[in-house]
Amino acid sequence: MKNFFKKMKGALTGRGGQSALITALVVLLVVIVNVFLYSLGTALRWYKRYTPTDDLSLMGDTDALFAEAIEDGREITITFCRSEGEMWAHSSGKYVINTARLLQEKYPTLLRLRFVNIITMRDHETEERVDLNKYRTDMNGNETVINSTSVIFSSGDNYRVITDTVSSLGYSDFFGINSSGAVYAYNGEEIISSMMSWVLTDEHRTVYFTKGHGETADVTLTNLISCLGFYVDVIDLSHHSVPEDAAAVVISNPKNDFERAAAGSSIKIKAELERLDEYLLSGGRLLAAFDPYSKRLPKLEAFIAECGIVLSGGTDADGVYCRDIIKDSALSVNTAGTTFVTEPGSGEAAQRLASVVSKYSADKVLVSECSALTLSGGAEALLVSSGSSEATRGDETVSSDGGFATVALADYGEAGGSVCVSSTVLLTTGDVMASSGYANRTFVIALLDELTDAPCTPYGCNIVSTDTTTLQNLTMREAKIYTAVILAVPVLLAVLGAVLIIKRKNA
Amino acid sequence: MLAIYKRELRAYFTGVIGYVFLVIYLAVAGVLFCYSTLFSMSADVTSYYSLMLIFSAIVLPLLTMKSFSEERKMKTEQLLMTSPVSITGMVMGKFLASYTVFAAAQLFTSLYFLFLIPYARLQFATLFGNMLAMLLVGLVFIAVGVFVSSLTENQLSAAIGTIAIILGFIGVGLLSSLLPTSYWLRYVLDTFSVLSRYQSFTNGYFEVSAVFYYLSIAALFIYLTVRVFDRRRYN
Repeated sequence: MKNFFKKMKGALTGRGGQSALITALVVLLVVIVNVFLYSLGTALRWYKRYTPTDDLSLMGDTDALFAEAIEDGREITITFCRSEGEMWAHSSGKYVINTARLLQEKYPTLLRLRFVNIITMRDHETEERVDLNKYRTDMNGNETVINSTSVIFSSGDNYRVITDTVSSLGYSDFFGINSSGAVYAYNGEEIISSMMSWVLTDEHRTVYFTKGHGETADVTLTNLISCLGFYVDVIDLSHHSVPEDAAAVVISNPKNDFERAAAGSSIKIKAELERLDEYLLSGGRLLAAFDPYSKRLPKLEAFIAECGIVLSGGTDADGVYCRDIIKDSALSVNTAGTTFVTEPGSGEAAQRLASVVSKYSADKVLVSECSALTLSGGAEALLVSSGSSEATRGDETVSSDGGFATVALADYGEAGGSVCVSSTVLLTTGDVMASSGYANRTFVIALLDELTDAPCTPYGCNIVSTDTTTLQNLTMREAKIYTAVILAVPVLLAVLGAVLIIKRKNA
Repeated sequence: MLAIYKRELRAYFTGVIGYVFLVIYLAVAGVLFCYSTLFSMSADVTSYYSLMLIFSAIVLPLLTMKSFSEERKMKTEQLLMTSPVSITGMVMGKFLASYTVFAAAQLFTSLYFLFLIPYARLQFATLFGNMLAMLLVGLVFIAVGVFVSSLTENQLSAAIGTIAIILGFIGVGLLSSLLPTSYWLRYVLDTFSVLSRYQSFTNGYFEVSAVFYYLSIAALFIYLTVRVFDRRRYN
């Protein structure tokens, strides 16, 4: 035995062709064992995934929404068009059923879940027949699609159907999806709570978005308005007056000007701005959002200026008209300084909104690419830039006064009408609204509630962001400070090393 | 082995090379960190570590190029080979000294992510996974560097040779996707691609076979280094 080990050692440590052969065999052994283990590991799943699990717990302030309904003994039914097992097995459906179950546990007397086989139209648990055909037309008489991804909220004669007809995801209405089709957040608690509140409300007003001027409507905003208990519709003011059931009119990012009747005209023709004026004088509410880089809209801007809100601008060095863009280096989150967090204004409405926002969020409202608003009369700033911000026109700084208004509110007429103007269209982008690092969603809910007295206000609902990698609230100043600290370390090390080496050489 | 290890570690910081390596490593890692996170407004761990993989492939040879080349050039390797330390102990001592310097630098740069905690929900599991992957990759790169350094007395040749082999390991995975050859050949190439094995960690998987791969390749190159000296001793 001793001789055997001696020979083995000699072979492994000896010279010449024999040890070269052993070396080659060792290399081959490593190759074979690695290929074998790789194959085995893949087949037997010798790996562990370390991705974080999403926190889907309920966080919304929903007790107040349902207190009265619970007292009155009302009941809401959420009908899923597949079995509960299928919901849990579905990649996106499992989020929805998880939230629905949590809400059902929280409100056991109010909420009932039902799972229906869409082919046989029978309840999976009780085998009772369920008539889903009545839900194929919504409460406004419009056709609704019912398929296996449908979720039907019903209470008494009120019902609302959510069906995913656009995405292969299924249940996409419960998620935030950006323009590239990527999911950025799960918003189920807010959607389900809002729909529950929706079917408990007997009357629903409508928020009208104007059309005919190149308007673009942010789908995150329209979905949020729907969650607040309103129908969302479009209106062509050149042909129709604003209906009486209008909760508000929204002008979202217009590219072309509105029309006004010619002054002194003997023929009474109602143009768009006259219809808008009529609506506001009767106590209506207008929300207008402008892209500061779009062309000037003199008639619409003059209309808004009548209530004391002006989009600042002028001709630049090249004689071209452009808006005054706010740059805030102190609170900016981009290098250009045009994306920054804001402070609340000092007026009553601004402070009211700020107190609601601070109740549900410790963060600030983020805006991007804003023009400065000049206010006069009773107009009030709701959101302002910091005291060290400046307004720039082209490459020139026109004002360094700071505290520029980015969102403002003014009264209109004597009947309680009001106009709210946002000098940016980027207050309500999906990714910012889904972010837990900014208070945009809470602010927009509070603002819409302030304007329209919304029937449902889903404050504080858990929005599970799938984008966990974006840095929130980091300003450029902080980033530069951290960079300086990080890069100081090698510099200090170089100095220390040089000192020690020189000292050693001299010693 | 401990004596060799301590001596080598001390040598890094009595000479210039240790400081030069650390300064370059920390400076470039700092720049890459700031570029991939702070100025990109992202707490994505994987993009930083992917860049660090390529950077480490180029800078680690600086650390290992003088391991044995200098001994050979200064004709002091005879002293080493006739010392009471075994060849394996000698090789391991030098390997561990280089690895200690690299691991210390790597762990220090991982502390940069602490700056991001107030601004994002940092995925610590992903961070630790990537850190572990970098430390394992470092084992392989340093083992290759020590092996190549044992083959030549020219430090520059040692550095270039090490970089070539490391890039070869990284490029193998890319090559497998370009070759229109058999599935099995591509499968074997993928098995030995540092990049594809590294990506399993960055994609959030802790693979036992990947850990074995890194340890076995490092052990193989250390074995080959021992064989080189063994052959030289008896020649």
